[in-house]
Amino acid sequence: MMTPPPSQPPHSHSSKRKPRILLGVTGSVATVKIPQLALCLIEQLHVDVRIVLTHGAQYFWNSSVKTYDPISWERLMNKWKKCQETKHNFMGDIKDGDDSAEGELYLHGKIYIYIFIFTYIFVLTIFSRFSIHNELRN
Amino acid sequence: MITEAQEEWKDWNEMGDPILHINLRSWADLALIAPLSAHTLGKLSNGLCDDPLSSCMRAWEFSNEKKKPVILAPAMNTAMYVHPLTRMQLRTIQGFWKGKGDNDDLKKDTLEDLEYQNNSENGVWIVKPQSKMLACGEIGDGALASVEDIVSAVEKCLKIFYYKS
Repeated sequence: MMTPPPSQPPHSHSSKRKPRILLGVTGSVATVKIPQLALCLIEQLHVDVRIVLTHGAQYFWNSSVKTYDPISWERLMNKWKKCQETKHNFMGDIKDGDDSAEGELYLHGKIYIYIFIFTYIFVLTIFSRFSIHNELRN
Repeated sequence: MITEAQEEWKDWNEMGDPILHINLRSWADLALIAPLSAHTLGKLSNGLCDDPLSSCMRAWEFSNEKKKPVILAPAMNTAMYVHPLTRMQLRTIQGFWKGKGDNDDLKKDTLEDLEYQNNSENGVWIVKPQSKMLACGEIGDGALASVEDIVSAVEKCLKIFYYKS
């Protein structure tokens, strides 16, 4: 039987970190159930999950899995996106700002803006010099 | 994180770079293989390792101090499931826990008996398939166990092997 979502995460009775589950998925039509299974593990058991697909599983993963249960698929893909953004190597309950990687992304964004402004000024300067030079020649 | 089969050596360029299947093995506290196909079952029981999943399972810790549990949820056609190879291969993998190539402690020799080994004595658990209309149109044993059954097996297994240690 499915256990109801516990009021406290099950790891609260221990000071241990969250359990880590390697979810191996192989080639079977039942692969369509995996997004739902992965979400149940993450949300009910509060574990961190890494999914490893075999060649056989990829065939189903890239075709029927999306269409069989689009809601679970979408939610799992959001978790994956979150784990890529925060540079976590697992999918789990990753909260906003619980990793410094997000700060890094923000800093990178700022650097790009500075580079853009600098390049813009540089190009403007060159261009205006060039046009002045041309006017003088004329 | 979702790892595809061809990513085994994607991040490896020179000596000292991380090796994916070893990192996966060291990272995990428990391996859950669901669905487990007949092909991968055969590979695991014989030690073949040609992709990240089978390599990781070949490198799985079954030595006394670092033993980590494994949960297998087979899914295949009925004839494939009741084939003697399924029982033999599952039993072989269960035997790894005790450091043997076979699960000799099992007196009776049916597929149902394998599931009775899901206890604190043996960390290789089997979640029995359901009997229903299969994807091939036949009715019988071999459909992947329900999500509820798998989640509940993982929960029990973590309680025994992860939270108590």
